[in-house]
Amino acid sequence: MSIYKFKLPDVGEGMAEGTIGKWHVKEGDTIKKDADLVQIENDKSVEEIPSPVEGKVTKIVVPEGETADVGDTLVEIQTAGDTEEPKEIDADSTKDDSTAKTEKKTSKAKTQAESTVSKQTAAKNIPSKSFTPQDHSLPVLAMPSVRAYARDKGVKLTEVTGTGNHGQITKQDIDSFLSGNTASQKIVPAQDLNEQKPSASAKATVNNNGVHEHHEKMDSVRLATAKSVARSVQEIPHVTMFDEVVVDKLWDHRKKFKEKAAAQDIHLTFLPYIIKALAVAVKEYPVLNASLDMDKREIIYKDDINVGIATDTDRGLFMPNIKHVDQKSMFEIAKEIQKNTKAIEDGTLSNDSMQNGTIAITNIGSIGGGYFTPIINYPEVAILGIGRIENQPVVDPADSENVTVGKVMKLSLSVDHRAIDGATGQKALNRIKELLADPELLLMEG
Amino acid sequence: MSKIDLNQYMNQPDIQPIQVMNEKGEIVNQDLFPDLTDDQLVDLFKKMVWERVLDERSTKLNRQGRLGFYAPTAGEEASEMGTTYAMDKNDFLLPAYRDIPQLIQHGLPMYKAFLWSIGHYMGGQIPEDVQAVPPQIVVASASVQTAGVGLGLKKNGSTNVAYMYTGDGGTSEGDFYEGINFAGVYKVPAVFFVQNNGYAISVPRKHQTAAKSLAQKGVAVGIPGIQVDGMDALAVYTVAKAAREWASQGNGPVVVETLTYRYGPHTLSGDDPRRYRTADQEENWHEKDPLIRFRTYLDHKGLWNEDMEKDWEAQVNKEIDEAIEKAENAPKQTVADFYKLTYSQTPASIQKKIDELEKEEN
Amino acid sequence: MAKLTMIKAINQALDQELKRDKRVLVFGEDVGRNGGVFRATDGLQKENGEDQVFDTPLAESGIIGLAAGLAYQGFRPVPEIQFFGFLYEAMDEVAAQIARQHYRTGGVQNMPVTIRSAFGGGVHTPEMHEDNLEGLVAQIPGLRVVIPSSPYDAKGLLISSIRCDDPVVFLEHMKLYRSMREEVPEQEYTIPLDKADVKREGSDITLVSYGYMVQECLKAADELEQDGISAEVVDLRTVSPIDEDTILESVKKTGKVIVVQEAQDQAGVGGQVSSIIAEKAILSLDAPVARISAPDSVYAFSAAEEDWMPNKADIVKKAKEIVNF
Repeated sequence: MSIYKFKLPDVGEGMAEGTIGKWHVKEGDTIKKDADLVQIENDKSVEEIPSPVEGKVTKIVVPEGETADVGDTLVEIQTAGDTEEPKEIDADSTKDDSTAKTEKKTSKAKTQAESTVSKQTAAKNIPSKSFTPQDHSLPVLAMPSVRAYARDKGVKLTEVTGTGNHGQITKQDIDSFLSGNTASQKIVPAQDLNEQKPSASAKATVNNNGVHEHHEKMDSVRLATAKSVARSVQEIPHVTMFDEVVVDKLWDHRKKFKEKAAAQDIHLTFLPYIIKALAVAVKEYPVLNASLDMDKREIIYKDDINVGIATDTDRGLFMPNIKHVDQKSMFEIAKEIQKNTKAIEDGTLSNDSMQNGTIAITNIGSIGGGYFTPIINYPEVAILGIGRIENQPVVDPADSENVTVGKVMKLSLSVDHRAIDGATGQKALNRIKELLADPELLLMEG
Repeated sequence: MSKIDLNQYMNQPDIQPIQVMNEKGEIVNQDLFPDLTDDQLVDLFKKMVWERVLDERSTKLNRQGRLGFYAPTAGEEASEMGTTYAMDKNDFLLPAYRDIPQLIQHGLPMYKAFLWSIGHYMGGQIPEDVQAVPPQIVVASASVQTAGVGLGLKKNGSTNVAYMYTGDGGTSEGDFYEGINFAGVYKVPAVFFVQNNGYAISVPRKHQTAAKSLAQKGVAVGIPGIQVDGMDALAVYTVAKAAREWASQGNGPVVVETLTYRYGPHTLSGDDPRRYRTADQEENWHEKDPLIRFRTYLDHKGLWNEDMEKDWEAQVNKEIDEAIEKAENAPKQTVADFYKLTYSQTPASIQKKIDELEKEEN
Repeated sequence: MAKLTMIKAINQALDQELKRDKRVLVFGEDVGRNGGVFRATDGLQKENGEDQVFDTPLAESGIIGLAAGLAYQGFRPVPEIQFFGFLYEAMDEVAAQIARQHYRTGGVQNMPVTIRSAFGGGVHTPEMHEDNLEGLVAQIPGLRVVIPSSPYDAKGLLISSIRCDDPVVFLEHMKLYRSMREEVPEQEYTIPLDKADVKREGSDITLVSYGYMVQECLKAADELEQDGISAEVVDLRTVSPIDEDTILESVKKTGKVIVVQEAQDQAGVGGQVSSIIAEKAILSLDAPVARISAPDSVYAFSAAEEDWMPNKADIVKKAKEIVNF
C-alpha cells in the first residue's frame, strides 16, 4: 500500500494556479484510473482532470472553491499495489529518473537547512567577503592591461598619478613610480606649465548658446586635485567653525625671532606656530587626528601627528606633510616647509612627503583671504584654515568700554561631522586660539 | 455603368464535396465505392477507432501532466485515416501538429510521438526507414517544402508522392500559394491535404477567404482541387487514392479539401471552444460522426460488433500504456546534447563549449 | 595562376561542384538561362543541364522551401536569393525550418543547403538590395554565415559551404564582385568554415572585419604604415560561428583593436566581437575596444551612400586615436 499524492499539473501553457471547481470524489471513495477526479478552473478555461491511478481517496487536500498553485498536492489516494510504485506527478517528473528526483529533494532540504543556519549566525557575524573589494571611491583611471601590469609589479594604482591623455595611468607611469625617483610626481608636462595661456592644443569653439570659449585639457595636478576634493565633499559631511584670535603677542614674538631665523637661512612665518598649536590641541582632542573606516565602523586614531600644508605653486596645489610635528622644533618645522615648497617647484618632492598625513592646514591669509570653508584632505577628519592677520578694533575683555586696536587672525576649522561634534570642534579651536594668543604658553605646552 | 461587367469574371468553380457513405452509414454513391476488401474495410475502421482511443488517452495523459503539447483529433478520424490509408509506405509525409496519428501510422513509433509532445529531442528522430519529417508547427510552412520533396522524388525517378497536411487557416498563408504554385510549375508528385475543420483556432472559415471552396485554390496555379466529405472515410479514401495516383503518374500535384470538424479544443493549452462555437453546432457535427456511420455500415455487413470493438480498444490501450512508459523512461536531456544537435559538423567554437559542459558534468 | 574577379571565382566554384557531385543543384530567380543578374551562374545551365541548374518562380520562401524539401530527398541545394534584402520573404524557411531541422530531428536530418545571396553597399542599388542583414542570420543557431572578402576566399569558402552538411548563408558583397582581381587556383580547394584569417600581420593595432570592409581595412593599414603604425587585419570569413581564438590571439598581441563592419551599429556582428574581446582579452587592452560601423539609420538613400558607409578614412582616423589613447 502506498499513498499517491496528486499534484496540480500545468493544464494550460504557463498556467500558475487553478481553482478547484468540483471534486468528483469524496474522502473514502474508490476511484478508477482515468476516471473523472476533479474539475479545475483557470482564467483560460475549465478542465476535467482524470485520475492517473486507481485507489481509495484518503484525503482531499484542497477543497472546492480554493485555489492551488501548480505543483501543490490536491488529493491523496491510497493505491493497492506495492509492485507498481506510482510515479509522482509534477511538472518535471516525466523527464527525471527517480534517482535524479531523490537527489533534487535532498539538495533542496540541505539548502533549506543551510539557510536556517546562516540566518541564525547572520546576526552575530557579518560574513566576510570572498574577494578583495576594489576601492572605487576615488576614480583611478587605467586600462585593464595597465591594471594587470600594476598587479604583477605589486604597485597600488591609487598611489600613482596618471599622465595619459585621459588622465589615465600608463605603463610608463608605473615604471617611473617603481624607479623610485618619484618621477610620477613630476607629472606636469612642460607645455601644461603655461597655465595662463591657452595651450597649443586648446580648441577654440563657440558653444550652443553662442558663447565663445576654448577647451583645454586639465593637467594631471588639476585632475588629481579635482578628484580628491570631489571625493572629500561627496563623502564627508563638513562642518566649519569660524573664529578669530588677537595675536599681538605672537606678532611680536615672530618679529623678534625672524632675524635670528634668517641667519640660519630660515624664513620664519606664522605657520610653525600654528602647526605647534594644532599639535597641542589634537593631543587633547585626538579625534581631530584620525580617520574613519565606515565599513568596519571604526575610528582610527593616529598616534603620529603629521600635518599637511596646502602649498600653492606654479605647478598647482600640493599637500606635503611634516611628520611628527610634536617632536620637532619651530625652526625645524619652518625649515621643512621651506624645503618642501622648493621640492615642489623643482619637481623633486618625494612621494613619502605626500603620504601619511593625519591632519592639515591651509593658509589663504598670506594672499589676503579671510574666512573660508576649507575642504578636508581625505581621509583625514579635520583641516584648519588660516586667514589674514589685520588690525581691528578689539574690545578689552576686562573692560568692555575700552576698545583698542589689535592684530586679529581669522581661523576656519572644518571637521568631519561623522567623527567630530560641533562642541568638540569648537573646544579644540578654543585651545588653538588660546595657544596662538600667547606664544609663551605655546613654549610651555608645544 | 462600367464598360466591363466584372460579374462575368467572377468564375468561382462550383466544387461539390464527394460523398460515398451518408450519415446513416448508407452507400449513396456506389460508383465511387473504394476497391477495398472486407478485411481492408475493417482495417481502416480499426485505425479510426485507434485514433479515437489515442485522442482520449492523450487528453487524459496531458491533464495528468504526463504529456505536453497536444492538439486533439477526435472528429477528424475519417479525414486523417482515410487519407493515410491511401498512402504508400515510401510516400513522404509532411505532417502538422494535429497529424500525429498519420505520422504514427506511417511508421513513427508511438513512444516517439509522445516524446515529441513531452518535449524531447528523441521525439523528432524519425527512423531511417520512415519517410517523414517531424510535425510542422509553423502553419503551412511545409507547403513550400512539399514542392521540394516532390521535385526531389521526381529527380530521383521515384513514383512515390509527397503528402502534406494543413488546415483551413493554412490556406491563407502565402507559403500555401507558393508551395502549390512551385509544385505546379515543376509538375511534382505531391498531394496537399487541407483538413477544413471550420476554424483556425477561433477564426471561422468564412473569415479566411472569399473563395467558395479551399479546393478551388488549385485553380489559380493550374492544378486540380477536389473537395470531399471529411466525415466519410470511404469517400476520403477514394479521393486520396485518386489524387495520389494522379500525382504518382506524373500528372503533377493535387489539392484535396476534406470537410471535417474537431470536437475538442484547438489544443489542450487552454483553448475553450465555447468562446467561438455553439453547442448546437457541435451537436450537429457529432451527428455526422465518422465512426458511427462506418460502424453502422460494417455492423450491417456483419463485419464488426461491440465485443470486437471492446477487444480492440483494450489492445490499443495496452499499446498506449507501453508507449507512455517507454517515453517516460527516455534519457534526461542535457545542454551539451542541444549544442551537439545544432550542427551536424560541430564548429570548433561550439565544440569548446560542449567540452566545458561535459567537463562540468563529470 | 589566373587573376580572377570574385564573380568569376564564384562561377568557377559552382561549376566545379556541380560537376563533382550530381546532387548539387543550383537554382533561383534568373539563374538558369540568364546566368544570374550578376552572371554568377553564367553558362552553368548550358554546361551542367537544366536538371541541375534551373530557374524558379519569383518567390523567396518558395525557393528556400524547395531547397529544404530537396535536402530531405538527399540533394545538396544551392539556392540563390537574388538580393539579400529579400531575405525577409524567406525568413521562416531560413530561420525556423532549414536552420533548425537537424536539431528538430534529433540529429537525423542533415541540411546541406548553401543559400547564396548578393548584398552590400556602394553600388547604388535601389532599396532593399544592399542591406547588411548578416546580423539577423548570424543570430540563428544552426546556420553558418560565411562572407568572403576576396576572390580567392570566395572560391574556397563556397566550395567548403557546398560540401558542408550544415546550412550555410553565403553572402557575396556586390562591391567585391568586380572591383578587384586576385590569383585564384584553377583546381578545387576548400577553406575551413570556422577559422578567421589574418589578412595582414601587424603589431600595434588589430582591425577585425569581414566582407568588403576587409579591403578598406587593408587600405587603411597601408596608410597607417606611412605613419609608422603597424596594423594587423583579421578577416572573420565566417560571422557565425565566430572564430574567437584568432581574434583573441591578435588582440593579446597588439592590445588595441577596432572592430569594423559595414552594417549598422546596433546588435550586430561587431557587437558580438567586441563582447568576446571584453570577456576574454580584457587584461590585454591598452585602449577601449573601438567600433566602426554604419549609423543606426535605415540604409542610406543611394545618392548619399558614400557618406553613410564606413570607409578607409574612418578607420585611419580611429586607429590614430586608439594608438594614442
